[in-house]
Amino acid sequence: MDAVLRCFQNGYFDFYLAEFLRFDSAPLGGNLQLKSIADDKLVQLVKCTLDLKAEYASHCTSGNFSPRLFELCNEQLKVLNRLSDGEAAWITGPLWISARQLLKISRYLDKQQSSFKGAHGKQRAKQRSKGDLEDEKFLEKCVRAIHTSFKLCLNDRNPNAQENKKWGVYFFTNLELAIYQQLHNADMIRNLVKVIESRTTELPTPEQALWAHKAQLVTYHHYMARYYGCYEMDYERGFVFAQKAWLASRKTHPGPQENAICGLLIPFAVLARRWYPDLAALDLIRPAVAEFYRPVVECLRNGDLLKYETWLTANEPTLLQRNLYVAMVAMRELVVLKLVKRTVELTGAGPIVPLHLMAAALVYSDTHRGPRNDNTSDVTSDDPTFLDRTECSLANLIAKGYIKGYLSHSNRALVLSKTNAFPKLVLGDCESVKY
Amino acid sequence: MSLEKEHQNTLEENDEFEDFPVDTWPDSETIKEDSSVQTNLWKEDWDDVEVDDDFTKELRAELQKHKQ
Repeated sequence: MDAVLRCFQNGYFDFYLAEFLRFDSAPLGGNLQLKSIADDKLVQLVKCTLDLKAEYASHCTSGNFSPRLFELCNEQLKVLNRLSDGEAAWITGPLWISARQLLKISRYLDKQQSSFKGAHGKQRAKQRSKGDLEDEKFLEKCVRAIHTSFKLCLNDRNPNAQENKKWGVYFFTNLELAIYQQLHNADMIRNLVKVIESRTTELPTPEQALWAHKAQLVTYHHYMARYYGCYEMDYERGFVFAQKAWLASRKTHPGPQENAICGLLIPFAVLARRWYPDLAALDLIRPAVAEFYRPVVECLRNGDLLKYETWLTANEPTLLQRNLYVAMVAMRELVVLKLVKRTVELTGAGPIVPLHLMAAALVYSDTHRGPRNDNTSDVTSDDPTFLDRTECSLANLIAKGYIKGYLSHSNRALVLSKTNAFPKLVLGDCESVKY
Repeated sequence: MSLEKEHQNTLEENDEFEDFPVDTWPDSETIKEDSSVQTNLWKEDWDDVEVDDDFTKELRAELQKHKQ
């Protein structure tokens, strides 16, 4: 215990302090006279942490966490937050240890509570927030203490840059983003990112602050990629962050984290740069991701709309859960563009393409049945309504600069530019990009 | 990790980004340092790629009918 007290007296963080703070490690040996500690807040921390360990040892060793364990862990972080005032950057280590274990307990209890609610239908959980009849999740309670740690780091005015707690900002940003993601609270994610963005000139870069913690650096870039690509629909910035996370991730022993990163990277690369993965190469390193996106890549290459729609429908719940549905719907336009380009090539019609050929291609790609052979539908490729729909699809592609040309409505034809009717959309050089 | 285990980690699992089992790893173990992955992973021929699969053959046949 003396080793722990020395950390606070001399301002450093070591293995003994980390072990002391953990709820699942045995109390350190040695006698401790609490009366001998002058700092009341430190006394509170010691008492609270010893209670935390005792609660774990007596009620939680079978793998269950009790609400009391949460309360004690929450208290530990709050006391540490109070102790942090006036301390230098070293305190961010103990804060992070405490915050992480609080998050771990909160996640467990929320999962337990949701399965309990699921099993008991209308029976409501006992935990309620003050003055509110709505149930409050453990994650919602825990994020308040973690946000205090975040603010302590962000607003530290220590003039000594090396000693400033701003070095710890990204550790707590990651924890908060993880919580808001789990709570599906897009507004809080946006607020947090805006705060970080507005303070970048005062903060060390993520690469500087997390150079010794690659897992945290990759996690941070992953969350930023998710924010820009999935919430702001800024696929270029989403791609840049996803690429940073991907390049810093492990090439060997990949886990679900690497799959999640790759799962973001591929749609953002297609939408931002028009790069698509080589499925054989991807299959060697991330087979699950290759399998998931295989139909998408095939449709992007051949313009098969029915296959794309079928894939979208089959994976709708997954894509919605991962906030990728909008991105994948946006990608459908590229499948249409590929179909138009292939139709121009296959018909050999030259710069003036009769609209009924485009309509026939769209009907076939959408249904895998020819319009005139479709006895269950009265749609034909020269149906005026369908020609109008085809014009609308083509007008969108022309307006976005994907096709150079115009529509002749009176002649029902697509008139293509004689030069470069389909401007190149691929951006950058995928082999030279290293961040 | 076996292929079977790897396939279990599909995108269909929950959207929680799990903590990495280790805190850091050397630069030499990152994808950035594996030039073969970077070189071979991406294709940038999307503007020009011409596939000739079953779908394309059937599309060509369908368009021929409508050209006549």
